[in-house]
Amino acid sequence: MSNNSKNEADLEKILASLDGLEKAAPAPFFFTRLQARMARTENSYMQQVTRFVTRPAFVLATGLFVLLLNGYILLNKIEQKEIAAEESTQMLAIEYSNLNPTIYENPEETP
Amino acid sequence: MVEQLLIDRLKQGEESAFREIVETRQGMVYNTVLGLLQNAEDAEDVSQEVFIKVFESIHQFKGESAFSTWLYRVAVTTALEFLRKKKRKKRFAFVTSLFGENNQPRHDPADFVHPGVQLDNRENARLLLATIKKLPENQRVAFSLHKVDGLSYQEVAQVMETTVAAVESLIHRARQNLKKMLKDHYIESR
Repeated sequence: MSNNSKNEADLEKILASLDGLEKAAPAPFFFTRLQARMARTENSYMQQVTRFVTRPAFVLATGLFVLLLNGYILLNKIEQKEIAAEESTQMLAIEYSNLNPTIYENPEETP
Repeated sequence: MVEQLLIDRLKQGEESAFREIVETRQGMVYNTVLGLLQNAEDAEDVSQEVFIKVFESIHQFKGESAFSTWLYRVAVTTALEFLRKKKRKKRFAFVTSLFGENNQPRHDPADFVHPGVQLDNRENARLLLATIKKLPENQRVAFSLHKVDGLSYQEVAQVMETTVAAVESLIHRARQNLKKMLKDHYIESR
């Protein structure tokens, strides 16, 4: 048999080595271990959430965020009040100037 | 009919139904996962994860395919996710891939042999399984489902949600790649 055909036969033998494979099975008491894991996962999820929420970094970051939000809203309100006050002064000035025309506005009417 | 009743009971959250499903399908899931991961410990972990997913997402099963097909899909997806995560970990943190949480070495055993392999085929099967690991993902899945799980092309196509022709092509290419890799790495070195 030539070297090439021997190699080819070896390859085919390797490729066929999984033929007739018997099924593998997990270790006994698989369901018991699965149940234990599910219970553990449920507990650890709650623990993880609690641990995360009570972390100093999280508490500080939340506090800082609330303070920043408060400051932003407060500044916004002050700005709005200032604009409103300015607008009402302007309106009053316009109204006043309409009601009391000065002599300079209509020079022909002057005596 | 019996299976449908079992699924309905599981959808209602009956623990006995879940137990029955696990007891009757654990071998199938474990075998599929082991074929893809080639590591008994990881296969046990991922098989448990598969059943947890089944328990949590049974409402998503609409009965458009057979329950076993859906279960195979969940098993394959979970195993592939695990492999991708493992690969990412290896790529970005070489140290953590060598040492686990308890400073225990976690490198993969290089010479995995499937427990179902015949004794006189062990060496060849070891070579083949090591080479299957190097195949592209979809070829690996198709080849493993066909060879390790013993599914027909039709069944592999249903699990992979593709056509029989596509599966035939995937397995053909997998065989060609395996032949080439085996020739390059093993036959030449003999």
